[in-house]
Amino acid sequence: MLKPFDAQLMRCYPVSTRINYVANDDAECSAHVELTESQAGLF
Amino acid sequence: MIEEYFDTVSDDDWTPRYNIAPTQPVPVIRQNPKEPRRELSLLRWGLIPSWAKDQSVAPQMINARSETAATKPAFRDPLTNRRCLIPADGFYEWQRRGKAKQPYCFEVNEGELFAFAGLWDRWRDPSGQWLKSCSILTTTPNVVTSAVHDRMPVILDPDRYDLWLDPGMTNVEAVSEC
Repeated sequence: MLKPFDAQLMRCYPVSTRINYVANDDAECSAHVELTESQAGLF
Repeated sequence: MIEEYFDTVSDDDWTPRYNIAPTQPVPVIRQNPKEPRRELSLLRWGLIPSWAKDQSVAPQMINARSETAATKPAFRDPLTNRRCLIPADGFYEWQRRGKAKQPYCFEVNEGELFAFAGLWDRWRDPSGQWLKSCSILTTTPNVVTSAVHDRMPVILDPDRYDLWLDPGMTNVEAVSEC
């Protein structure tokens, strides 16, 4: 039961660093952002 | 919506949030031990063991490693007797990139509700008030999360919710391994 969840059912995407500040609590926190070329390369 | 999805009733007024930090209140679903119903209430994120001298341990107790929780004094008893669901529709992890950290949002089934496996405990403050708090179990990452972080929260299959919440199920090994 305590195993890693099925990766095929998950997705991830970069979000704004606004999330670093807990006072920011709106839909923009979980909105997808495009990374610049220097930031990209996760996968 | 959470109440419907998880078949629970809410004890507290609360509003869904996009950004929750350690030591803040989070919605937690627990099984009523005497009646066949699940109850949703707000607990502080960062488990304070009942025997703690003060609250200062909370920020270090936001997560419990599933591999060792059964042997850790802070988590052993909650794992046996006080398991909970912590509902969400996403979570954030940060990837270190040199000095910077890039946050990523993780979702299940394109943004559907899901539940973390949680533990909870209660601690009595010096004024005699009970403070209830919780921790999220973690496990090894899958291929989606491993690109960002070396751990991931335990996300339960919905068909395991009843067993995870069952107060009568105190065989930790059986609960953990099924």
